[in-house]
Amino acid sequence: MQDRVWYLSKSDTVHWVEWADEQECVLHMQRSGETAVVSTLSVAIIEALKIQPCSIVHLISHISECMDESVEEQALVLAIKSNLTQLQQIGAIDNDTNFITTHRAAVSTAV
Amino acid sequence: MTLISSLPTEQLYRQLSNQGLTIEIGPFSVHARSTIKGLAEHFKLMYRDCSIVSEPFADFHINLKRPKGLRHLIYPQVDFYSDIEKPFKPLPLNQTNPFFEWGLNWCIATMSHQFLIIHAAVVAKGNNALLLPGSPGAGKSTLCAALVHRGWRLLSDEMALIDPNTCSVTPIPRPVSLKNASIDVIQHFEPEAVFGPVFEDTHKGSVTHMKAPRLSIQQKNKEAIIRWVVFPEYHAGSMIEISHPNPARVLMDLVGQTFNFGTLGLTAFQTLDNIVNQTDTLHFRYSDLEDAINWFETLDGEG
Repeated sequence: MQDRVWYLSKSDTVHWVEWADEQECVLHMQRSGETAVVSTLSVAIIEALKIQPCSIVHLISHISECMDESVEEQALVLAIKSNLTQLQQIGAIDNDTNFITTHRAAVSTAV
Repeated sequence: MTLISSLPTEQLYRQLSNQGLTIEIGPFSVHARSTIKGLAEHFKLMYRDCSIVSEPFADFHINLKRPKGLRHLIYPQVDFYSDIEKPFKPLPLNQTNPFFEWGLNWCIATMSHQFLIIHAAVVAKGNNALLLPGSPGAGKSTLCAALVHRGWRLLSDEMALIDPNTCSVTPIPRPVSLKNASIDVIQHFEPEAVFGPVFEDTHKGSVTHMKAPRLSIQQKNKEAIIRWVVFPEYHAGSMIEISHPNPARVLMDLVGQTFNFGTLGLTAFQTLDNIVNQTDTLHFRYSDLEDAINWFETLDGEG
């Protein structure tokens, strides 16, 4: 997970709504219709990936800049990993490992 | 405009069983045909204040008829047709009237995507609409039936027809469907209301209909803007309890109650977001109907 490059889904468009002083947001995938409650951290991840695809190391560095200094790095890493997994399940993001695996499977099926 | 009430039941029956009858129900014109006499009586009692439409166009074409074959001699049944489609299995013949109402709900929910359609009762004071979404058994129809006899205007008992551009609700004042214990509750609460017969042993239990107030039908073109979203929860023995859920959970609850969320997609998502942002939303737990109705009066007072 550490060296994978994460990016926003190329086959769908993500929309979300957030509210001031609320910890929960709602995310909607335009094509699949998938709609789910996510954390504000998930939205921060999406906003970071909107700027450019990046690895988890870059995500941690990017997001920790906006976080309270009292947040432990280990806790932040775990939270980011957990949010990445949820966002991937919703279909909002993907990573290059998955891209290669999917294409290898498609090639081997074709062969 | 000719009102249903101006036709004798016999004439209504003849028209329904021959060429059919088109009536205005909210924003829709509904063409109904049936040789089943009970339906003419249902129209005469429940839709008496609705207008008969003379134009040939109708939004929905509904036909309720007995299935062919010998089975009907032992176990009389009724089929529901929308155009030539038969979306449901037949029901016992003595459930023709509720079948018409359920079938019309289906027609609206599956074919009226100019609206965002939320499974909710809606009533209004002036231009301010109160949306009461909720799962079956939450008490929305009971509250709705009581509120419309205490000065609120009926916009819908079953589905909120919402304009995605303006978030206004188009009224569709139809009979209020009451089930099981709520039948006695409302008959006791408002003995002057017009009730139809009770249909026992339907898939929803005992069902009856309460006629929509005449004034609500006369104001069927008067839209209202959603001002409050209240998720009711009937809880026996409970005092009134109010809580304010966070907006993300309200939005998700509304998604779950929207019939055509998948069809409208992003438009539905954005409309529901607008509703959450422009309304007061709360969970409302109650048991005593009079107390509940009095509480809703204070809600109006805040305006």
